[in-house]
Amino acid sequence: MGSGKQQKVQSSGFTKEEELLLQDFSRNVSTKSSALFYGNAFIVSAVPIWLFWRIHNMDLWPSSILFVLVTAASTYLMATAYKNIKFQLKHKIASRREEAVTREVNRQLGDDKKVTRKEKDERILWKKNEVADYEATTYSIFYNNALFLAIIIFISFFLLKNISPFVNYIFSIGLASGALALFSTSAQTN
Amino acid sequence: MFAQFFAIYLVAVLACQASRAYASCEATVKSFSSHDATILTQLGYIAEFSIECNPKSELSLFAELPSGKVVPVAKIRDNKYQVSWVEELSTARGGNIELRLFDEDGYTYLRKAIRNGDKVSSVKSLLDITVSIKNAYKGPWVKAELLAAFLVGGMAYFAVTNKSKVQA
Repeated sequence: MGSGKQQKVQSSGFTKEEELLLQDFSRNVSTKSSALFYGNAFIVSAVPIWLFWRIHNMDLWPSSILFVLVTAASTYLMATAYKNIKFQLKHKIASRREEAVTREVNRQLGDDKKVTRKEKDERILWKKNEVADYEATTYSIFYNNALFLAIIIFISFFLLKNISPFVNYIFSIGLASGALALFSTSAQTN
Repeated sequence: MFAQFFAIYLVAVLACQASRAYASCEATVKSFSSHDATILTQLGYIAEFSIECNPKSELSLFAELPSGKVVPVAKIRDNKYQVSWVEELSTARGGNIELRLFDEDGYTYLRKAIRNGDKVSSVKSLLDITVSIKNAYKGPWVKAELLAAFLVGGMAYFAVTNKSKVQA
């Protein structure tokens, strides 16, 4: 089993350590992360339907096609924003957590003579990657959701409050998710 | 001839004064007003009162509203009267509202005072009644959307500053 894995690593042309390092800087997200992102994006995009149905008095069934289309577009844009923000944060979080993770792994392994220096480094790298991935994922979801809801409330209740709910819905959801997806692609200045 | 006219006039004036002399009246007031002003543009007030005068007599009453407008009072039963009015939400207030009531003579003097530009308050009313009005509910002090905007705005601020710290 272990040799099969080793072969797989060798077939991609990178060592396990290199693979882990690449994963640290990778923009790709795992299927689990992707499902989490799309699930969250769908929920946060669907929540405003209640707001426009109950507060802005939009008719639920006659507007259902609009709700489905806008929610689908918003889900895609929000998921993109989650991925991009996660990518921006992951490496920074990894470098911030490096010391603590190293200390923790060293404490766990202790004076285990069976574990080689290389294995220990790999384990530290894997653990650091895991911690950074988890933190970046959750923080990206929190960050985007907070901004999304703030923008929606500001646009729908203050900026477009005198516009028809139909237009208000399209613009507030479209602008909120579009702006987040757009700004998430911005390059880091530092 | 002139003396006769003068005598008639004197009698009329005395009779008038005598009619105003029943002014020992007592009123029992009940009031109603709109309680919920969240979907209204004007608030309605109704003051219902019964008047007992000594000696008993039929009264045609007029009321001076808080706005200064004078309106006729409707008689709904024997000795039972009702007056109603509306106020804009911006000027509507609760608490005790003074209504000045005038009989027909008082109303004549009042109109005369208004016509001559005299002080209306100088005209003696038949009776003053106090109408107790409850403050109408005009919605919460802080609107829900404003509260939501502040809460979610605070959360967004926290998210943005924290992200900047992580990326610093």
